[in-house]
Amino acid sequence: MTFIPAKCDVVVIGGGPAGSLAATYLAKKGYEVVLLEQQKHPRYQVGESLLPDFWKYCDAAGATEQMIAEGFVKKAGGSVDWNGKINRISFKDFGYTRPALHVERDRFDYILLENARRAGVQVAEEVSVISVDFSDTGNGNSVGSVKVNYRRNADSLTESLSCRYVADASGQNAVVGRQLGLRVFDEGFKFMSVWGYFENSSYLSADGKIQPASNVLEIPPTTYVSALPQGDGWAWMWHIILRESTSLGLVVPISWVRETKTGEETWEAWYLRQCGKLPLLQKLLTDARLVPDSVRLVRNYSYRSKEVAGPGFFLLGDAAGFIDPIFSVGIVFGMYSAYAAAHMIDRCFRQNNRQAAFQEMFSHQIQSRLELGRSLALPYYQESGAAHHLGREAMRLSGEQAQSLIYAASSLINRSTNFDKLADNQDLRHAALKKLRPVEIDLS
Amino acid sequence: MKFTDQETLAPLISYLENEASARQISIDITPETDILNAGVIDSLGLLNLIAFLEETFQIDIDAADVLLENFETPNALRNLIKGKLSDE
Repeated sequence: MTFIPAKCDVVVIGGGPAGSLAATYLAKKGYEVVLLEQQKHPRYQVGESLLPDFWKYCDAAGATEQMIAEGFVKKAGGSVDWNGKINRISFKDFGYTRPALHVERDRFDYILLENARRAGVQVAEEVSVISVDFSDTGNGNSVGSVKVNYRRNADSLTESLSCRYVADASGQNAVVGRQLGLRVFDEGFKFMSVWGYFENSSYLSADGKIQPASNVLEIPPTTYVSALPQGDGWAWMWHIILRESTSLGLVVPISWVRETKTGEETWEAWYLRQCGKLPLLQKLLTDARLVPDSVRLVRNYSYRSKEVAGPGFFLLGDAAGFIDPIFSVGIVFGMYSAYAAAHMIDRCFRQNNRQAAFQEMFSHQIQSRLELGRSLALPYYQESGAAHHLGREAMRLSGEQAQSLIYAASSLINRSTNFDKLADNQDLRHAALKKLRPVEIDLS
Repeated sequence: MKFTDQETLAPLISYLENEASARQISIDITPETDILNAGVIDSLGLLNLIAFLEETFQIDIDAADVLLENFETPNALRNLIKGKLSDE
């Protein structure tokens, strides 16, 4: 049983990528950090597609070498089948020199958690956080004390641990956000995901050709996404080839599932029926086999927290907000929030009298990114005052490389009209759109 | 504390040159270099740059100051610093 001290500087809730990285960065700055993780790693997790930006967070954590040594599938770009048109983009055309990856999340998350341990983080697994007591967080000028109440999964005794700051990286459990009632839901976009794993699926490479599964480590794949024929362009499919299998999931509005699935139909049958409606996908699955009992589902809601930092706490990754995962931004967003939280917590310790300013700086950066995500993903995106301005500013402060990729991605799935409200660099947009290439595959 | 324009620009440019070389970007940093589009300052670099400005020039930068107009070039940063110092 891992020893858990009675006090430390920072408690990190959750051992996913955001939690492990925030803990690592803080430990490297010399703080005493305890990370509480509910499960025992390596553990299963969906969400396997990563954008190339993630490398710099591994660099900062000293985890790059292990990441390379693991030999994950390198991904070259994306292929998008939307409204009858199939387009592809290659990260290389946007000036990215390091690869994106398709990762088995049990391994990826485990590497980052072990790296945190090596950096000096006290990691305790199979520990659930029950509540966080913020009643003594100081008066804004002094650092107060936060009490984290937890329970080891093996027993029923609640114990507590005092710290100065909590970094909540508990994912969709959103421990602090739920407790403080911070989450705001996008009522217009209630969706669910149903996914499974296939063996021996073919895939699309960056040149728009179909490749057999056995080529995956030699010829980099693209992440393939497709609109589903019904669902008005808001229902879509992901196809992410991994080393031994392919993750294949559907993201669909819950209302649409109610209309299309009868009580007698199993989720697996419903899932396969939807997959069968996509001719290109069927071609990729010609020699593939569904892994038995691999179909899972989760009801997801788009939400964000109206506050992502406050006296004694910072919210990271999915605990701060979760939107449609269509552009694979989730993990990189979580990693950015980890870096920003560690940076701000360090500054709070060193300049107690400016804690409120550091919390606000963190909030602006996180909220602006969530707003960008909402504008890209939500069907009924409405400009909403302050957050909208933050989103615009985040786009303007991103360099040309990131902006171009966002323009190209938003145009691929016809959600760019939303996005026009946030960004209007027409020259950059035109240049980005020229980098889209058609995929021509005979589907007869 | 008072800084002449040159006293403000010199440490800024030297900081940005270090950032560029850490990112393996070969670029001449002039007072008018677009440091965001050139990739010298990315989202992580922005946080570190803010901390650098605050420590070097003994100023407080607020969340509302983080605008393109203030961070696009070394000259823009110099104006931000100048404004902050004259507010004191």
